[in-house]
Amino acid sequence: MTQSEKASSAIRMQVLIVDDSALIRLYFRQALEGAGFEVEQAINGIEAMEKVLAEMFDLAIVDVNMPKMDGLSFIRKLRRNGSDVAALPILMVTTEAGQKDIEEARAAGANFYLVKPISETDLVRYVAALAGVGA
Amino acid sequence: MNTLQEQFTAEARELVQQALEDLIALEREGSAGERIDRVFRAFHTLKGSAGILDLPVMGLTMHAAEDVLAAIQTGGLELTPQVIDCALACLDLVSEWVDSFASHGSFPSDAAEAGVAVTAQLRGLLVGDELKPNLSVSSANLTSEHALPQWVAPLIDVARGRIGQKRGTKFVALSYEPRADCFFHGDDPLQTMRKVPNLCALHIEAVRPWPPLPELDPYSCNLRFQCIAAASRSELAGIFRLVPDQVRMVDIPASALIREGETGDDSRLVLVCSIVEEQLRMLRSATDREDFSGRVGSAARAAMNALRYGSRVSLSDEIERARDIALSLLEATPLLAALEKALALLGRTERVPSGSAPEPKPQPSDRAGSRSLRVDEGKIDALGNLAGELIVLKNALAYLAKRVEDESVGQDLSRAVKREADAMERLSAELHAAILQLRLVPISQVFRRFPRLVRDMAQRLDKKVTLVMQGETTEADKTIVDRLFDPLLHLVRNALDHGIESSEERRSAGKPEIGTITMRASPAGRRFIVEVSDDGRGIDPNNIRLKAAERKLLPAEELAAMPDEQAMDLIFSAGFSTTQQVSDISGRGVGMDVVRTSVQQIEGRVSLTSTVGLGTAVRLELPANIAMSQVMVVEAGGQLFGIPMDAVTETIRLAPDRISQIKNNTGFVLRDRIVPICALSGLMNLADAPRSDSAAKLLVVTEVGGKIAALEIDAIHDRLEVVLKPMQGLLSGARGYAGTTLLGNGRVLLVLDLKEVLP
Repeated sequence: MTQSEKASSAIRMQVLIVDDSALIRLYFRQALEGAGFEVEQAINGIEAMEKVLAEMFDLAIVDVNMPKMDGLSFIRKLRRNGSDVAALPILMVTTEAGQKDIEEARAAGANFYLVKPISETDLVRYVAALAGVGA
Repeated sequence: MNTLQEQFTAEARELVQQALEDLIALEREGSAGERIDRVFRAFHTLKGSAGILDLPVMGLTMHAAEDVLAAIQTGGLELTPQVIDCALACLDLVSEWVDSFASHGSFPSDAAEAGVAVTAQLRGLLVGDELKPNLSVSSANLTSEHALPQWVAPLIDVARGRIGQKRGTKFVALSYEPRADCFFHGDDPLQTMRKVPNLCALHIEAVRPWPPLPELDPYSCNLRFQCIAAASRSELAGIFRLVPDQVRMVDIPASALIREGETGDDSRLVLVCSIVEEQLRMLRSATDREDFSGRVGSAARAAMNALRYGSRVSLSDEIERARDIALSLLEATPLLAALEKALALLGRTERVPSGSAPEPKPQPSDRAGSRSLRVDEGKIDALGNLAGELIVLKNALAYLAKRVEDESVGQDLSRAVKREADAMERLSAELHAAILQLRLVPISQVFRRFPRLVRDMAQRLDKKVTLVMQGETTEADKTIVDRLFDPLLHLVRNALDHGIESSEERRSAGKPEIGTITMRASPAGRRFIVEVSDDGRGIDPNNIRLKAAERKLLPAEELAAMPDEQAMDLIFSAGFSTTQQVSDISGRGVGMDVVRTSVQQIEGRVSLTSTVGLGTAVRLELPANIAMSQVMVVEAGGQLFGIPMDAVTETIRLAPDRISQIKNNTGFVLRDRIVPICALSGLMNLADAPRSDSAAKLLVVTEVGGKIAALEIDAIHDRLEVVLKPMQGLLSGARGYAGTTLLGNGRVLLVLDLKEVLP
């Protein structure tokens, strides 16, 4: 990671991690916090919805398969919200690499799609780009 | 272990347990949607975790299991016992791996073989599914262009500086972990590694930490080689053809290796382009207009962000204007055009795949979460010890308060001290009670392991049985609940093996063909009861007598004269086993005596009732807490001793004429029972205080393990609630003592273990 990829501390980017696996959340959080992002977490779509309505985020990283409200349902609901929140950029992460899965994510309104396992370097690069960390 | 690894083991164990329970329930109840979904998710999450920790074997195995579950979800595969067996075997394997990972930081050496075997089994269930061939190949397939296993990253960092601008070359990252016994197979790992062409990065490390030199086994290979080579997969596969199971290969996209700085803008540009491209596809995948503003808004934001990240601020501004127009026209075209233009200016044209997937229905949602906190047991113990110290202090204060009262320093002062001492007593009692509450766990923690066990045992014994569990929410101290598993396992095994009859036998006896084993827990004051009962053939006391005679436990005439109830109790004698034949499940030689011993170790009691033809019930009565015990302080031979209160049934002042001589011993009759009398001073080898025979004797009647006895003592002092400390150091081997506690005046009180003290 180069210096410019570190989010400047003056405007810290807020990233929401939505994943039911505490392990994945921990992994992402460590990587992103290490790169200067501020991180919030949610364990399913319902909780994520509450968080995005309560706080401003620059990006949400969303898992596909979660109990209660899965990632795709969450994105569909978010995109139909009608307020500014609906335009939150979303990076979908999953273990599925199939074309069908990617198309489903696109149809739901995800802005990008990464397949786990994701290296820290890649994660930070994509998050920085999607959240708009200036060069 | 780092936090990530700790999280992994904790989470994996929980998932495995949950999936186990769900699978067993599924077998019983049929494939109810929600459970299947949950099992699927468990495997799915395990697969994801495997990816993060770079455990490809587990990833592959979980992937296969997930496919099987998915087939069941969609109705493509039926949930047969065979499928469940397979899934359970898979979970067992994961458990084993996780345990090994937790203790050694790595999977067992046979993990790959075991994983491949289970994977093949799982894949075999999916008829028509193409078998995924080899480990190394499919693990590479699982990783996309953007996602490389973690071990590759440091290699890439090394390789980056050395490659320069060599474009169009193929790169492969390779990890070679020779088996520990590779030298005995004639492998020469160093020589093999030397053959790798065009090495760009090489890293050699120890698989496990090196042992101290005297313990080092030089014939065991403990090395892992990792490298990046500018070579093709097939070329490398040729070099490692003899050890394919020990090698993993991953293709490295050339873009990952382009040196940042010189061509950093280039790689960043690739990333920006891919994001902008994706926004075009995403916009075109719209299925309805309800999400129009969200979709257009987010696509624009993502593209603008990416362009700004790529230092193309003017392009970003253009996208913003196009977005505003698109939103006001309710038409995506202006934004699409702007994105395409941006892509063209970035030097890339976009390829458009078409078609979009149908939209699944949103799932109904509910919200429930338990407000629980996971705390390390050691922390609670530390808190408990502090509370114990506080209680000792409280006892000291009570003692002081009494002295102040005696020495008449003024009524006001003594009353004030007494009041404070009382308040402290109340507070410390409450604190202690609160800590005990923390240690309480539901009995379901041990019950939950049984459905699986009963299922497997029943299958092996070819018996049909339903397991009914009741009162799982009954709570008890964690230590006790943890120690309950072994005795309960014995009881359930016995019930299944000896109690429940075969289907034919049950039919001819006019019983329902499927037997029932019931595990029931219920609270009973400060103790609780766990009962294991079956509706099997019951135990015939005459069989017990026969068996006991055969085993020469007691003379035949004594056995014949014995009441049924007492005869049944012989089951708990050491070396007693009623099995007619050695069975796979219960084995032989280990029987109910083990149950009684282990239950007694946690201050519990066992009793058994049985009716021939109707079944057997074994009842365990156990303390709900063990951290605190009540003792009676008594004096004998000039010394103080503590006697655990739960062993004391009553105290009696006995007139000498009620005492009778029985052979060499003395005893007396208490409500039709003969109670032997033992002098505590004698038992403890202390000098007797001179005492006239005509004086009434002070006796503490105790009942331990069903045996009743009276201890003769000189005086009874207080009753105390104490935290027993086990005997330590030199005294740890001393027999006859349950532990020690501090008295208010600072003296140590020895608390007796009556089981060992009484003859």
